[in-house]
Amino acid sequence: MEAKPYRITQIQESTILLRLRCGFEVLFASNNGECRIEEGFERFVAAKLRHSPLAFKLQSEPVLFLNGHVVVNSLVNNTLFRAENGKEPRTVGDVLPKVAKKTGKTKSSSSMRVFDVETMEVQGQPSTESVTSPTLSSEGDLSVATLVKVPVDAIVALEKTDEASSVHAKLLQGLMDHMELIRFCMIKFKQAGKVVAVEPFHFRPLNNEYIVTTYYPTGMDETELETFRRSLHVCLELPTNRPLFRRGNMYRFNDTETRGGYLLNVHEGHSTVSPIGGQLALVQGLYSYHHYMQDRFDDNGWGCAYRSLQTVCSWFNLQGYTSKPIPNHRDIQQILVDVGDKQPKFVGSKQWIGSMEVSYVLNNYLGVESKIMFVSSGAELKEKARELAVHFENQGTPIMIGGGVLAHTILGVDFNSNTGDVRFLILDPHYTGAEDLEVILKKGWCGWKKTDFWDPMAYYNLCMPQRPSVI
Amino acid sequence: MVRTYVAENCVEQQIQEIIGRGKEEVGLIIGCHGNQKEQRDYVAFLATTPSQDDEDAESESEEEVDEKTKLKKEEKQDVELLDEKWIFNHCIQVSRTLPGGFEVIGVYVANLSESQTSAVKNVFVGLFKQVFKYSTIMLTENEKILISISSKTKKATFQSLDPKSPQSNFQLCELKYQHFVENWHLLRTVFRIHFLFPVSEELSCKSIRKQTQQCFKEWCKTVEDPVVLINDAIRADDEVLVEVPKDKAKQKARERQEIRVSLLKKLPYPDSLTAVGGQCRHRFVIKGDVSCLSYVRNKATVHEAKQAILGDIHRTMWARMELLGEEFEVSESDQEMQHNQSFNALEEINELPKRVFIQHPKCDMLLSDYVFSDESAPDVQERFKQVFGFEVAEEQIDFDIESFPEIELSKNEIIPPIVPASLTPNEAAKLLRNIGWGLLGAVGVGMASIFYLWGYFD
Repeated sequence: MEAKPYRITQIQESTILLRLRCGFEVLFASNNGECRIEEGFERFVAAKLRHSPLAFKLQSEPVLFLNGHVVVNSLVNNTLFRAENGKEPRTVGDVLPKVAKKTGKTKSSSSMRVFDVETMEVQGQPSTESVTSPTLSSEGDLSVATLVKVPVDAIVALEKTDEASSVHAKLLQGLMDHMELIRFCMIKFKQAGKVVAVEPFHFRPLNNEYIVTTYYPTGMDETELETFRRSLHVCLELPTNRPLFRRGNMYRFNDTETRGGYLLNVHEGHSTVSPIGGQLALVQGLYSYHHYMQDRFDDNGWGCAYRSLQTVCSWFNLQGYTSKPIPNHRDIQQILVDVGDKQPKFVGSKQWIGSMEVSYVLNNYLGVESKIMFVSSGAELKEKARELAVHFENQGTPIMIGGGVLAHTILGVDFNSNTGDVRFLILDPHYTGAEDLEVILKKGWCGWKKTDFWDPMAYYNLCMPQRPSVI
Repeated sequence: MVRTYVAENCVEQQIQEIIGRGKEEVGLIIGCHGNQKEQRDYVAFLATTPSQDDEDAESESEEEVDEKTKLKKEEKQDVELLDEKWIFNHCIQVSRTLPGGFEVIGVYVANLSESQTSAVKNVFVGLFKQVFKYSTIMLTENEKILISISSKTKKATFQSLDPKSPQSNFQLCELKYQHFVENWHLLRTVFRIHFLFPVSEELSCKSIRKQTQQCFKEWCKTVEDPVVLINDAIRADDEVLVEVPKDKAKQKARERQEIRVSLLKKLPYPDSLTAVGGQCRHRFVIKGDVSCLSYVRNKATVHEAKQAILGDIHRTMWARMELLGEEFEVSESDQEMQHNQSFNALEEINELPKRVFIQHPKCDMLLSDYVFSDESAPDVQERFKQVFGFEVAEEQIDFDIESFPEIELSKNEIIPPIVPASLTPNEAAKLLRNIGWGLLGAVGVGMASIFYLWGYFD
């Protein structure tokens, strides 16, 4: 049986995912510089997975899956409570806690429920058939012993109607599967005979109805992993012009609304129904909102283009094109000096930048090309609506627009091709407040604007970043 | 606040017996420290430390005794009675037999002379300091008791002192006699061990005993803070272990219950993925199950129960590893002296001694002993006579709690032993088993070598 270097888990709306995150310590011996990986794994699997019983517990819930039965306890008024009718729980639905419906606006994520599960080794049992007293064996020859910490992040899909007593076997099988994946990864990426550390990653490419799980060697550069990623794209028949399996693309199970303290995709709080009967073309994927006064840096009055540039950089980071951090004002200025666009005294100043500078930084820092669009008057932007819509459909990157004395970020257009009516979805970097989503949406710091938003007396330059064709 | 002690009725009996004997004595107090809040400890029974001259007594002849040497002997006895090292050794022997929840909580002295009485505090502090340093698996660092018994006044005084603050004085304590052990709950579990220990190059140059001690230390780290199931239920730490419904009579509430304990070790996602490694000469693999037992007071919380059973798990492995290590040490040194070359006593497979349970004749609790595959009831009985001073009937020893694994005897070369004519194999083996004593007293080096062939001759 050929080993597949990945696992696929199918998911639907009704799927319940149990997520197993645990770690094992595996001892590998190596002789003459060659690490005996297979041997180390075999011994480990035999000792810890086959002969030593494992138990799985829902995190922060007194629900335990043991071999053959389920323990559900909670002390309610000092009496043990087992499921609802006093009998051992029958289905997964009986066992899992009911999750209270989240009130308020919901993000457009699937209603799939994810439960974290802790893995435990059963070291002590009340009694066993025979108690064989221990022996101390001495074995082995002169070699190098390496103790490696192996992380496992396995997901198992269940339905509400599955038998609760089958959960243990499924979780154990998931673990065994992952040991296979890890073993494959360690052998494939062995370096100079030494064993490498590996890490698990889950991906949900193009928001499809499945999750792909694989392991990458820790610290290995993305370029070195390109061949491996390409094979994943090909096996799964996915487009090979955009990154889907870089570390940055990893699927986040918990609906996080922030990353690194910044708000993500604030525009999603707005309705997707067009009041002008038009078609919406929006930014694709994730970005974080950057604005004045963030990071305790006072750039009020001069930093708006820098902030817009930061939002664009965040997009490339979150879509996995780069793992480089979002540059701060000083970094941006230094880059412009390095490329020869500005004099050294530019660094540390409060000078404005425009869309050209933004494109230079994107090019130099991220290797990203940009299309520059020029409009001689704010009123002309209405005519560019179609072009902008095409941009969002094909590229899906946020657009930095500078003109007059202001810079903004365009996140989408709403265009009625019959009436010619246009609205623009604008993310405003001039906001000086805290990361308060309600304020940002209510006060229009992120909101739909009409064409009168633009100054007809000013000319505008748009920097439209192009997706690099990489995987 | 004055500390109170609750002592079993058999303790009162034992004290009366000591008063009756009228001799100079020193011994250990076995019991349990209550929780900090209550300032109350429990005394289960006493164990007299055997006198050091017991072994030499036979070899002395009457004619040698005259006034001068008699006085000298008495002086020597004075010092010898309060011999820290000797009592320390007794403490180790006793600690090995105690189930979880119980430990040595103090020392008793009887009929001391003036010079001895003034030395008591120093010996007391010195002894426990030594023990704390040696291993906190043996006993916990708490205030310890001193019972002073005098046959003249027919009284016993109870005092306590924290050996870690020797500048303070002994505090008098209150005492209450009451049965408690028979009501305490019994926790049982079978603990599985499968531990790999690579012996680094550096460590492999040291004695095998040191290697096993280091191995044990590392193993301890794998048994820390498990999740506990009490009678198959997940319980929170601060809950009371055994809930008693209020409507049942108070009497029934204080009955002993046998509680089934499961221990689950969390396997958390690793914080860091750095591998640890180094050159190693060989690996130790410890594989097998140990049967564990401990007692807790009725109103104990789940947390206390967890600590008690963990204490027993650590202690039983400590005892077994120490006993095996001692075997290695003796056979190694013996072979070196005999043949003047270094010897590796380590075989491919070495059995750790198995645990047997013994019913205490006076107190309702189970003590334990450890036997190698070539030992049987008489050996256990002999040891208990020495360590505790009481007789144990064969029926009270449970040999079948654990069984030795079925393994083929190793095919290592056995160096032919030299059997001293004066000893029978039985005596030799006995002396060998009481290795603790043997190390302090004088043991004929040649006797140790008999051990290896003991399994072949019957």
